Amino acid sequence: MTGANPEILAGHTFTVPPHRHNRVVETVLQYVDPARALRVLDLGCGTGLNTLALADVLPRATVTGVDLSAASIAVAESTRRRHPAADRVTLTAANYLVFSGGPYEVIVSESVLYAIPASDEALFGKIAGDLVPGGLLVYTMPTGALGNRLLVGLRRGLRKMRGRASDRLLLGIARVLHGGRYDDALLRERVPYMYVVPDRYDTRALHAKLAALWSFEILTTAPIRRASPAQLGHRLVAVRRRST
Amino acid sequence: MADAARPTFIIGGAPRSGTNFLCHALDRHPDVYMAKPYMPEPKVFMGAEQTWPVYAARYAELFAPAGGRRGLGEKTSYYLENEAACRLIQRHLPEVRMLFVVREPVGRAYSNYLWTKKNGLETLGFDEALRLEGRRPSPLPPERDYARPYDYLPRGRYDVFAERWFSALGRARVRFLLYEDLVARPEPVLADIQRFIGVRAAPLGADDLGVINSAREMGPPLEAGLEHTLRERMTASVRRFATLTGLDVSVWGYPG
Repeated sequence: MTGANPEILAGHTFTVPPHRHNRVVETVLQYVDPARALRVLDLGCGTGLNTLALADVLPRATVTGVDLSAASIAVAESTRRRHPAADRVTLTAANYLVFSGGPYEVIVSESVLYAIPASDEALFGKIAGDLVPGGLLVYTMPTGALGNRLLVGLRRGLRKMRGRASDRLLLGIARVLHGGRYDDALLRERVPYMYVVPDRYDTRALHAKLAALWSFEILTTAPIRRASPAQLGHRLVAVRRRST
Repeated sequence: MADAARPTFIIGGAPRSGTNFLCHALDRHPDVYMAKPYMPEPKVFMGAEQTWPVYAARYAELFAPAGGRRGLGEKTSYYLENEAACRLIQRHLPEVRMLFVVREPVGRAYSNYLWTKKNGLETLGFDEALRLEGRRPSPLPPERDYARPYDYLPRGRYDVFAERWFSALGRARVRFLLYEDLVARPEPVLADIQRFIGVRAAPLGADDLGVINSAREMGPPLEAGLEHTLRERMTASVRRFATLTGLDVSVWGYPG
């Protein structure tokens, strides 16, 4: 475990690129009846794009977004106020591990679980406790592939020499790679994430643990196309908490 | 002067978990003074946030009759689940020890439901009330938001509360104990509590304190099928709570 990711990320906003949040929302729609009055949690909601998208496609749901970053929640809150589903959406700046809410029929977490410095037991035990039996968890997380491990080695090195110079270098590289596709604000926002070292990867061992310890049934797994060579390769996973 | 009146320990706990019994027992200790009355509870850190002098004045008043006793106790059961209270206690009471009594969460939830119903705030059946958890507006005024009368199972998420209190105060200053242990063997549990709150060992004669009030339920027993479903729902939370605290919760009968 690195234990340092919250310090790196806490003061920053994070906006999920549109191509990725659609995948998460679409996956939720594959497994739930959108007409139900669901309770939904967006764990690590960032600036709230997934949160509001879920409120859009689940017209009777109440959706809660929680994020460690007060800066992200402030942005999300200002968007929520102008959103037609504002009354069904609640946003909270909090550490999820001590966040008291729920229960939920659906929890989604877009590229967040990997950066939470807690044991699998503490994190997934909390998630399992927050889900009703039969509840759905959809998450994306870096895989344990060799390419990711090498990239993480590089990030560890970067983290050690982190400063203005390394920030500038990373931003410069990002502009070369993505300047035509993303605006500068989005690229700047993502620089701190280049220092994030995963606390966990999505692996078969993790799936086995999810099944053995918390009765999660794996519904689907799908690789997510890397948006950038600097990004860790992620996998989307949907699991359901079995009811006996 | 105000500093002298800080509580040295605080009892919190899940509603209907025998915290009153604990107050009566500890108040018999020659070195302990429990803030009174027990009901309604002092709730010093509940409600709108105040500055320390306001809290200090309240404690000075609560502990005025303490007569130099070294163990000063407050009992406010809501502190267990209240995030703001946790933050305020961390800030204002750097030495205080927290003692939380918890009971099997499904039984506690049902007891809580019966209590809310008895008080006229609950009109739904238990299963319907649970289906609507988290979606019902509180019937209480905003200043009493903390009471959360309809949050039956969420108030039994002891794993979340334990994680929060351990993070805020550190493990050495926070102790959880099981209501079931307190009922089954009060003397050794009370002896352990005396060590924890830093007072000399003294017999408290808990036998004549009578039945712990939460043991007297006032409605029909919980339907077995619903109980099974709810216990299934709480299993992950209970297991996580046991791991976090190191407590043996086998008396609750959940799968290990």
